[in-house]
Amino acid sequence: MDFDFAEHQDNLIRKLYTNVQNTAEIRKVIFAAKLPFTLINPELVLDPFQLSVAMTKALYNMKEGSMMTRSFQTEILYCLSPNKNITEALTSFGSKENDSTFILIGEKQAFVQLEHQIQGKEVPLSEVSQFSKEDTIKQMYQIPNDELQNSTLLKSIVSRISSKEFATG
Amino acid sequence: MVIVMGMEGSANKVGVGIIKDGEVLSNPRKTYITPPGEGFQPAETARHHQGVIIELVDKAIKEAKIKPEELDVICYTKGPGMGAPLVVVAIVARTLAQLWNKPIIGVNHCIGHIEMGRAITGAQNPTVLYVSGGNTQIIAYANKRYRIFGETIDIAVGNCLDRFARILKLSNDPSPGYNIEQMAKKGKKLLQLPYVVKGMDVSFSGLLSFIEERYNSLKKQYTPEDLCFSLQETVFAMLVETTERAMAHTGSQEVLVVGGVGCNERLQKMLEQMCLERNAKCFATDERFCIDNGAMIAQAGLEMFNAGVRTPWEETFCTQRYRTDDVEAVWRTD
Amino acid sequence: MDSNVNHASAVTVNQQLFKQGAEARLFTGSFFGRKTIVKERFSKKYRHPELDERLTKERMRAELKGLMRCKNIGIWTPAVYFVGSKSNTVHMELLENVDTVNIYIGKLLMGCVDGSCDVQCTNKLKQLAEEVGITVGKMHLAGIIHGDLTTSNILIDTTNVENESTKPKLALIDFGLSHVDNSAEDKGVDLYVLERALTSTFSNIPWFFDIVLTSYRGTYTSGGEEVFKKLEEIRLRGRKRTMIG
Repeated sequence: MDFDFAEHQDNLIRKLYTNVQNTAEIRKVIFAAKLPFTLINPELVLDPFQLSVAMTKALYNMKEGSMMTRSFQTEILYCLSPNKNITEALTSFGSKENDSTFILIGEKQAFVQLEHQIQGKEVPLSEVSQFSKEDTIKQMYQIPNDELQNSTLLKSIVSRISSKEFATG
Repeated sequence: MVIVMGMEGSANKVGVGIIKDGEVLSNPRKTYITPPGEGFQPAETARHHQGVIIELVDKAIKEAKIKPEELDVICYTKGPGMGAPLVVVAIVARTLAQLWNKPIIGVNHCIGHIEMGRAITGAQNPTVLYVSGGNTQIIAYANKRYRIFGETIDIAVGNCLDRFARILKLSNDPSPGYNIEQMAKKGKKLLQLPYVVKGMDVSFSGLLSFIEERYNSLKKQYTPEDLCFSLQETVFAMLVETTERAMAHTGSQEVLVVGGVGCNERLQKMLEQMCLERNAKCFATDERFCIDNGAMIAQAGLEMFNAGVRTPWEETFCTQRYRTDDVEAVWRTD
Repeated sequence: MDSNVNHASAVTVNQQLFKQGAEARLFTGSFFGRKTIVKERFSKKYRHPELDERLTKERMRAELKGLMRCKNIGIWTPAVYFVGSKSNTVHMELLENVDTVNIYIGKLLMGCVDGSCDVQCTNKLKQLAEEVGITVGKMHLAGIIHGDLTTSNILIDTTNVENESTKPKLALIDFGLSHVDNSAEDKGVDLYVLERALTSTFSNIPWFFDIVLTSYRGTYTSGGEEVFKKLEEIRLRGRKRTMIG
């Protein structure tokens, strides 16, 4: 097979926070200390499985030395995106300055440095669909209504994520 | 003890073979070779066959050390093939049958190849890759018929090779395919050629046009050896792939390659490699039996004769188009 | 909470080979709890390595494109979860409770006496034939050529399928030889391959393919006729070819 998934970082955390008062500050902390985290805009995330598909791909790209971005964390954002424009991917899927809801993904060991600084409420990631905007998602991933006759929205999203380089162009 | 004479002349090879109880006693053959750059035409081919066939009959009988009275049946290629040459052989077969008062059987050329292949190699129920100048078929036997699983949708692979040889003005002696094979052994650079597999079928005309149209510019970057090499690697890979598909579909563990192109060592090697990876067995014959010959007609005829088949006089005509799956293989018991 | 993602167990591939086709090896596996088929296109040693690499990548690309394109127009195809480009491996959704149409027709016919169909069996076959025609018609209407349209590459959902009123739900798989083409020729070849697959295995229900064609032409109104004419031409080609040598 491709690579031994077990060999890899199997200690990643994914957390969903809402009502966060200090998003800007958290972003500064991450940036300044170069902490291995990324903040994801939940409006475009339908289900944790979507994240799993993107993360597996990002992990693979990292292992193969074929990442399009500079870090594993930003690579996740790129992988989530249906197209190959890096800037667009980071802008659309990454959280904005003052978003009060975001998904945090990063290394478990480094999380201790961040955990207590987040002034917000943690919500189970499985409930992310509360914050998803289906219409925006459909538009972003260009999913026509015809497609949903015989596919679920989630399956259509993940198929695009996983086959991006092959099935487009 | 059954002694059979078989006569073949559907293309540019004409041969007479004698088989006794499954043993080939004689199998002389002559080939009509045209100058480089030229293919063989029906009228000239027929004339050639006419000129040598009696001599071949004579030779076959002498080498077999038998007398005409000892023959049990005379067999000839009914088709498929080129009209005029087929008829030349049929006329001789009919005449001899009447002269010697023997029954006559019209045999399907493709089935001749298959039955000879099975007899010589001992393959039980193989997937057959039949590749020659006029035919490219992948055949699997089922329920008394040799069913065509896959085939070329345009030209035969041998035809493609022959026409390619003409473009390069290679000699037709002993055959264009043989000369392509020798040159290919010295080729190194692989040219990307159209590779066309459609399910179980293959197509070669696109590849041929590709080379025909670009030959003048191609020869500046690739040596003739490279071109021969590239052609073989591509067309043979297509054949091996479709054969493998047929095997996967039927669950077959044996491959038998027959027909003139089956002599090619590179093709044989590729088939062997494919079989190795599937734990299957690969069977092939040498040039005596790969290439059109009289004994193969005798072999198929022998099977038919033993199964009680006889061809009534009214039906001893020839037919240019004769599908392998049109014949009821009554001699097979499986 | 799903706070920890343990990748070690998230993506597994069962060591036991599920099937070895001509193109690829199939394994079953799991991807974050979802059952998968893992399709590994392996290198063919008989081919020249350059040709091999090129073909393998082309086929995988064609497969992923084909799956996506059909999905776009509402045809059921497996979802794709992961593509390992280095080993030419695709982890895709394992469709459960499905049979290939090849197996399904076989099962239906087995229940019939003397190979002749009873009313229920005939109706089920008719429904299936119609749906096959609709699905292929839809696909060709969008200019998608399957390239290997055998009855083993069309799947039917067997949930409640014995029920009279259950309309057949079909999926298409195995798009390695697919491409986009608007000409009638390749569409005709698709139909021809399907016809041969049907008539060689199920020679006692020749009317099945007729229904497929009628349904196909009814769905693909703009081009179905032309494809049908091409099909007739293709059927004769084998018979008409000069077979010299």
